[in-house]
Amino acid sequence: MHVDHGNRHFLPGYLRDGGGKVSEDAMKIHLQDGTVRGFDGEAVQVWELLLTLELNPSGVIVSRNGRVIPEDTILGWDDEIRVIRVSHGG
Amino acid sequence: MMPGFPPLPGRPPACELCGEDAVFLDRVRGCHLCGDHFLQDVEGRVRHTLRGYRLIRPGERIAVALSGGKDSTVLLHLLRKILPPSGGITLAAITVDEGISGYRDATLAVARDMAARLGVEHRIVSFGDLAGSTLDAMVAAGGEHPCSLCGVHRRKALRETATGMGVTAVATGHNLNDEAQTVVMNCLRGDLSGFTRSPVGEPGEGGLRRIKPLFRIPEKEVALYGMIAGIFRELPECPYAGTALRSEVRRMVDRLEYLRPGTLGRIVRGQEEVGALCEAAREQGGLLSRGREKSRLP
Repeated sequence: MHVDHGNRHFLPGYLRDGGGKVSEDAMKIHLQDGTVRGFDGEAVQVWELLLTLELNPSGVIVSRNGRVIPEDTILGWDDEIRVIRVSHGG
Repeated sequence: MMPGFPPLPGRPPACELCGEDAVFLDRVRGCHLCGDHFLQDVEGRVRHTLRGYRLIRPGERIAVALSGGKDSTVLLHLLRKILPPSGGITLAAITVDEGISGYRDATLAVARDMAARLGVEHRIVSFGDLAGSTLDAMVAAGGEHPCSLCGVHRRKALRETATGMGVTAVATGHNLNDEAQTVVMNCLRGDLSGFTRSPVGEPGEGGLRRIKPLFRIPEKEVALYGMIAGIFRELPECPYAGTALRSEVRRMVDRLEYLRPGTLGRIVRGQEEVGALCEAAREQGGLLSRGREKSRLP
C-alpha cells in the first residue's frame, strides 16, 4: 500500500499553545516534554496532527485515551492524545 | 474494512487478521494489526532472523548486552520468550555502567528489574572498575568524542565480562534504524570496511560472536512491542547523544523512511548484498583485503 503523506503541508486545523490551559472544546495533546497543547480541527488523522506538530510519524507512538492507535486513525475533538517519542539514543 | 475506504471516525482501523481494533499500521506491507497479532508478527520475524542466519546454536550460552533501554530490554524479553527450552540454550545479561550522571541510574534500575523478573543471571560492570574512570571524567579530560570513547570501552567491558562468564555470543539490541544509520554513516565517512561488514553480527575476538537478532525490526516496532508487552518505560536520553553524526543521519533516514516506506530495509539489504559480493571477491583472491579495508581501486 502506498500512502503518500510526504508532500502535504496544509494545516488540518490549528494548534493552540496550551501553557497548561487548554480549553474544553479542543483536542488535548500531551507531549513527552510534559507540555499540553490544544488542537482545533475536525476529522484529522493522527499523521496529519503529527506533521502539524512537526513530528515524524515514523519516530513516535500515539495513544488515545490510554490506548495505542495507528497513524491513520481519525481523531475527534474530544480525544485526549499522548505522543511518545521513540527515536533517540547515542 | 472495505479496501479503499477510510476508517470511520472514533474507532481505529481493524486488524486484518481478526477484526479487533488495530494498534499498528505497517506502511511497508500495507496492513493493520491488533496488539496480539503485532506481538506475534514481531516474534515471527525475529525467529526467522535467528533461523535464517543461524545466529544461535544449540547448547550455547548467550549474553544480552542489557543497557536497560527499550531495545535491549525488548531483546531480552523476546529471546526468553522465543528460544526453545529444549535447545539447551542459556541466557544471561551484562550491563555496562559507563558512569554518566543523570542518565545511567534510571536505566540500571530497569535492567536489574528486567533480569530479576525473567530469572536471568545478570552482571553489572562499570567503566570505573575496568578502566579506572567514568565516561563523564574521560569526557571532562578532553580528547575523543564521547561516543567513540564509550564505544571502545563498552565493547571491551562486554568482551571481558562475557568471556569470564563462559558466554559464546553477545546479543545486542541494534534495530533496523541503527543498522541503516550505520550504513549511511560508513558511506559518508568513506569507510569501505564498515560498509562491507555484516549487519547481522560478526565473529569477535577469541571466538566470541556478536549477534543482532533485532536488525530487521524498525525502532518504532521495537518500542511498540515493548509497550504492548508492558515492558516499555520512558527513560532519559543519553546527554552525549545529540552531538554525534549519527543524530544527523538519524533525522535524514527517518524522514526518508516516512516519505518512502521501506527505505531502511532497502538500505540494509543493499549493504548485505555488497558485503556478500566483497566476501566472494576476497575468496577469489581478492579485490579487497581484510582489516581496515585497502581497496585496489584507484
